[in-house]
Amino acid sequence: MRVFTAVIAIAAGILILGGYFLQNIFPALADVQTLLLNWAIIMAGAATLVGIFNLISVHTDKVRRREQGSIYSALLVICLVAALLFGMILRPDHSAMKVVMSGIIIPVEAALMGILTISLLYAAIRLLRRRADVMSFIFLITAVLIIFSSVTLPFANIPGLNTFGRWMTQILALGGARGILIGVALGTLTTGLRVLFGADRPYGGN
Amino acid sequence: MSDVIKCPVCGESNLPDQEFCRYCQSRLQPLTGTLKGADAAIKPGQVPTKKNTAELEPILPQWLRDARDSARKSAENDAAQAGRQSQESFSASSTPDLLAGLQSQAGNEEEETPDWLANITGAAPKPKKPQADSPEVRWVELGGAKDFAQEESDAEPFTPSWLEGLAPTEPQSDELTDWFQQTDNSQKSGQPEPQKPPFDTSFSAPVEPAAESGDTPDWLKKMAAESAQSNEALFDDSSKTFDAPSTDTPDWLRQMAAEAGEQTNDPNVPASDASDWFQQIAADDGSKNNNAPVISAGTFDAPSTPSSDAPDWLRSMGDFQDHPQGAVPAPGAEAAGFSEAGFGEPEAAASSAENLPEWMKDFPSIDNEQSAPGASPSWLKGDAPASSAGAELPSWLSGTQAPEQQQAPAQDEAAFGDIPGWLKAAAPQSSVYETPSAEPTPAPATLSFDSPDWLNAFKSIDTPDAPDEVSPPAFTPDSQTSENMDALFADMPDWLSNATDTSPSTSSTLPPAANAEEITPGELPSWVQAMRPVDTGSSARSSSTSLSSDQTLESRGALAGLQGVLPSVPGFAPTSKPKAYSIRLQASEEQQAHAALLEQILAAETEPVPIASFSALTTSRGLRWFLVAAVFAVLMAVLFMGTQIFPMPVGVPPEINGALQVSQSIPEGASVLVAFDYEPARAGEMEAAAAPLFNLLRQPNLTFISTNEIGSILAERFISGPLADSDKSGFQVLNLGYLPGGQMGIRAFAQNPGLTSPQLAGITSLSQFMALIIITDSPDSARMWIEQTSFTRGAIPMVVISSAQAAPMIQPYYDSQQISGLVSGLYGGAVFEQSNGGIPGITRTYWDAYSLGMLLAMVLITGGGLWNLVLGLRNRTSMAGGTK
Repeated sequence: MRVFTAVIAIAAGILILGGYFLQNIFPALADVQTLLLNWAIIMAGAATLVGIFNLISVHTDKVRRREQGSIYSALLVICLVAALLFGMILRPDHSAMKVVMSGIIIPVEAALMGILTISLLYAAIRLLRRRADVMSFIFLITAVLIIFSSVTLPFANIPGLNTFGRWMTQILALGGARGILIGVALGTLTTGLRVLFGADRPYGGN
Repeated sequence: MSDVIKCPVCGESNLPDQEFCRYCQSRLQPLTGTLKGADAAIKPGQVPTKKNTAELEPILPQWLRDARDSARKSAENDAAQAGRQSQESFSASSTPDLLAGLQSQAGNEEEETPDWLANITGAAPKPKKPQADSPEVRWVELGGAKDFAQEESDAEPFTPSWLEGLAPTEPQSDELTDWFQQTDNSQKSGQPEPQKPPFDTSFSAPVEPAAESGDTPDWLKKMAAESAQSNEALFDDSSKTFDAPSTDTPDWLRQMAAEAGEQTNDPNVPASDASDWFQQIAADDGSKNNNAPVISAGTFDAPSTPSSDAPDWLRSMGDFQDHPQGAVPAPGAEAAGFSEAGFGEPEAAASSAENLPEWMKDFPSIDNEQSAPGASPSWLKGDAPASSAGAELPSWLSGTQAPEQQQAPAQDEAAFGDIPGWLKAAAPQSSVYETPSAEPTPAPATLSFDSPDWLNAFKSIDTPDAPDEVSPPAFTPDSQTSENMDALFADMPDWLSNATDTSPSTSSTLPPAANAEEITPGELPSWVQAMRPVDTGSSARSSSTSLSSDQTLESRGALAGLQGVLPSVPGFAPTSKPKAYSIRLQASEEQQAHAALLEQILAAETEPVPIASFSALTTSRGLRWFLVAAVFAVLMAVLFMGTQIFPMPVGVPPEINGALQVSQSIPEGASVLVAFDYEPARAGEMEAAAAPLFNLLRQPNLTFISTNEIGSILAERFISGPLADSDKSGFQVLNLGYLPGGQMGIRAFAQNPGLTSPQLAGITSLSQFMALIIITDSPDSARMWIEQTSFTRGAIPMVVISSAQAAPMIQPYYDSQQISGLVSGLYGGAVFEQSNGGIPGITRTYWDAYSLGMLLAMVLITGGGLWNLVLGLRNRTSMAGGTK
């Protein structure tokens, strides 16, 4: 069984790669790639449904066993089923669904972002009290400068402030971002090769 | 019972006045005088000292006493005949003296012969006689037998087992026997059988018949010829006085008996039926011992009574030896006559012929024909006198001829040399009588490479080079003085050197071993038993009787025969239980205090020590509420007041400019694919950033798709929200909803959008869209769209509208021209909105609140940071002061 799954995984990976690099030579590989990817999309959608049903099952079980915090589980299950049913029945473009989105989901998550803003501000203020070192000063100074460069002053602009702020974002921050992206790319490449060679079997079989 | 002394050896009771045990002749009284303490242990490096060992003479073995007696008597005879005999008597008198004592051990040869030796030719071994049947053993131990030759004459004729094993049986035939038989037959057929002198003409055949037998080996012929010559030269004066006693004694022992009989002036002692070769040796020894050929000839008369059990090879040798010198034709050098015994004795020949066994009766052809010198095996030629060295004779055989011509001792050795080395090892006398220092072995002749090893060894023994080179034996007339005897004993073992010279009177007064049967000899031969330190132990034991009452006789092991060597001490065993001791510690108070202190120290080592650290920073709830109140108040005030105090940012960054150009380049009614991949929490930022761009589009045909589950709803909200406020209400919108599969879904959708979404029927490629707009707050989502659509979107522009947080991660794709423009955050939307012809949008509504809130945050961070820095320094200073 382990060999069978590994063969499937490796073959699928090779065919997908062939569709990327050899579709001009072998156009059939592009069709095969599309077919496999559609299978993957279907399986991912089914997996989403499986996840939803698993979530309902877990919290339903908590409610049935009357565990601590089961009320929240009951609320979750009720809201989930209701949104599922309304979404399936009314479709997402129904006004009722828009009200639910605009009146519940967006304000709640926006409120969380507001709380995050207050928390970050509080942390920045208290940082030097806990750790008054160079990095703390650099961090705070950088944050102040970026914030200051991203706004406009009501009376007059400070010369060079926007330029300094842009240099900070386009040079320093961009350099770090590229490094992160390169690391991600290398990690993805390595992971793909390991899967292709059978060294990594995230689909199971150790 | 106290007046009775118990013999430590045999255990019999003896009278207290007896010095020796009347049963086993062991010493009962301790030594006194000069010998007292002679039995003390000799320390390493100690030189043996001369002792007066007269008292120990009775305990000497019989063979030793006999040897010494014979030596003494020989010295007397030699002194009488010293004027007329010089060289021969000098050399011949030693060996018989040395071997004289072996007569008593002859009987033991049978019992000492191992089975493997007795069965060497396959003959059934004789049953061993019980030891009680061999009185010779007692002679050795007790020394009571004076004339063992007479006793042997009365004994039944038998061949020792070690010789019987060599005698071929009728049904069996080995190579040697066959070889002999062939020789005999050839001789018989070749010559008429003359009157058979039984043993005297065995090797004295004429040369011609012998030469005619083609089967006879040349070396044997040569040996016969040489033997005849030497016999003629040596034994021409041999008398005819040998009587062949028929006893069980082996021949080599019979020789000793003959010597003894000769010493007792009894020349008519009947010779045994032992092998003639040994009789020859005995006769030779006896003759040379007495320096009179007459005596030596009369000692043994082997031809008269040949042993019926003797093997043919022995018999042939006997013939070879017993050939009377006068009767030997001796035609030239090839006439052979080796034996001096029974030379020219018809009576003896007749009697010997009667006693011949069946297998020996086939042999006279050799004797009569006097041929077959070559038929004799090489090892039998050891006794042949080397009268003439044949050119064809092997070298090792030529070396064997010398002893016959030289001296009796050498001839004696040759006689023993007839026996193979392993047989000689069975004979006990060699190691006993030979004194290497006094009688060096003559150099052996050159060895023949065609002879076996055992023959070489045998030949080396009995082939002295020259009579002059033979060392004088230990017991020679000259060496039998008291001085020489002491010198002799100086080389002897310690136990033997402790023994004194036995006087004849002492030995003669010893009673015979009447109760010798009670001695338990065990499995040791008698001559070995005689060497056991019984006497020493008995003397020491008798002297130490009062010291220890335990006189247990050791019956086995290395201490066998010793008594009281390992006495057991009475009362050694414990008589009471061991004393019980308390295991409780007897510690003083001071020691206990120290122990308690040690325990405290150990306990302190195991206790956890709290690590000194800063106190946990308490949450400033007031500060948090202050921040919430300040931010909320400022922002709410600005929003509700709707102020536009803060100006919009000026200047257009390149990425925004690219997005602006793309939005302006999209034709009216063109299909634009829009991906909504952001979270509802950032809906305000994302809608404010995306609205200015969509306001620039001219009635596009928008297709919304989302890889986020909420994206489709956010798309509906976006259409009904910011866009509705604009003047672009005529947009055609198609919401494809959720695209599962992540980047795989994006890849599949990019390859064939119509296949993935039925609403896009007819659109088989992503390049059929005029533009691709990605609205995302996640750099990963932007990366997936950028990467997975790069091969399929072709040349269509791609604009990414992101949050300010994800902008730095997406910026590289713009720098690498993978995307056409990037609009990030409220700042980008504000810049983009200014290019919208001055129509205020949602960005302007948020810009004052945004700017004021950012300034407030900057002020709070700066002010609050400095304040907390001071507080922190104060706390550290106070903590440092408190620590000091």
